[in-house]
Amino acid sequence: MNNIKVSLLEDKNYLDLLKNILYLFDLKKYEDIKSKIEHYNENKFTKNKLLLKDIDEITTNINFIKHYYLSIFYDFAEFLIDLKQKEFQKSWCTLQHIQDTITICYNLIQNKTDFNLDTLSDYLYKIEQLYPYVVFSSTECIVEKTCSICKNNLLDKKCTHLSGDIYNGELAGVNINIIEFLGISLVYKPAHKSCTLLPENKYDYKNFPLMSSYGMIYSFFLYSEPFFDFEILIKPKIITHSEINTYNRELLCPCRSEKPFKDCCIKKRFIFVKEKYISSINKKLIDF
Amino acid sequence: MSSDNEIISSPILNLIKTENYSNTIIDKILSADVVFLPNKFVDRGINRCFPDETPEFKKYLIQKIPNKNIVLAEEDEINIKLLELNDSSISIPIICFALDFVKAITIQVLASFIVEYFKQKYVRDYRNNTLNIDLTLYINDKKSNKAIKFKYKGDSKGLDIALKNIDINKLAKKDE
Repeated sequence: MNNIKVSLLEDKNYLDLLKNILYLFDLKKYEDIKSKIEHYNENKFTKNKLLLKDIDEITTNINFIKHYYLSIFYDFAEFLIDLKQKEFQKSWCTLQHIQDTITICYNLIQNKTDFNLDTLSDYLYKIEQLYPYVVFSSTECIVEKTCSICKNNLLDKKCTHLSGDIYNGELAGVNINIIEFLGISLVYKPAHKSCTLLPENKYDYKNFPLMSSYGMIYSFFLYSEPFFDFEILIKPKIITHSEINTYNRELLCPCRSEKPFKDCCIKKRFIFVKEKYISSINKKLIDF
Repeated sequence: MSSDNEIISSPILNLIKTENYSNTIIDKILSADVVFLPNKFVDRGINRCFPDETPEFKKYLIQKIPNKNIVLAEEDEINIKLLELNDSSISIPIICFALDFVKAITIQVLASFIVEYFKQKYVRDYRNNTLNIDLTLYINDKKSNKAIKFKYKGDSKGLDIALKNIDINKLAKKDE
């Protein structure tokens, strides 16, 4: 595996960019973060490849890592935008993608603490726990793979590339040429977590988004600051009569009786409910 | 989590008996230091297949132990089909180490290679202990045609200890 020392202090512009990105996260300007990173990558970097090669391979690889590392923040901005739009399934996939990027960076970068890789991974794992997904559907298949760099079969002696390593500014991966589908299973620990199963619909309250299955992750978006540690709080809430009047009668009652609202608490003057909130702790997890 | 060690008759000889290998392949397998054996997935109706991780693990071992003869027990070693499992179980192929080779590098070194592979490739899963590992390996003694079978199925944390507990002297004791 590559294990490259990438100095942040030597590249002042890059360090300033990282600081600027964190500042924009504090201001919750996610679109600005995306455009800033797009501007930095322009004509130099595509998804897994550095287009502008340097004189030697080491410098090229260092430049690749710098660009690749930025994609964590690009995707995290995308993730928060997904949450804002209540695209929970999409946000989950983005989160998985970020975790994969961190894993690759982890193997490539020698000075992991400078890049906050452990902290980032733990923070994202904590966010992952806020989703309601427990069981995943996952496919099983027989495949034939080739190397994404040399296009040879993976077991060909000519191919010495290890997936997840960088070779002259290009990330090695695999191309799947043939797939023979065998079956699909429901598993707790899937090979790929993207294929989720929607949780039971009974708590998908349109009236009360925080009480729905995605309530925790939505609460994370509403009440926590990006890259700040957070905790889960349970707060009692009183729903007053005036609020009750605005709710849809046909949807489920917020008292979690699983009855329609019209047949349950609609005539009550107050409803007491317990809502889970995510609250930021005043401790910023990453810094440059 | 489960792991066990037992002495059985050589898996390579059993494989040669049951499969129609040419003499060249048999010679290649018998002279190798490390042989990857095909897995049987009876419940899926697959008789011979190598798990998804095979090419990566082979390349990794070549890097770690260069100049050693590492082969796959297959006629066409290049165009093999790989089985991608749906669980996050990391199923690396059944590995058969020659006893002389294991004596030379010690089981501790070999164990650390295997554990390091999982640590590097599945950093987050390894740290959070969310990885299922399914590993079978044999230490094959060509002279006595016996082998120690080691089977491990469980999380990533217990693998290190289980691997280091393989006692290769068992083979010698059995012969006595």
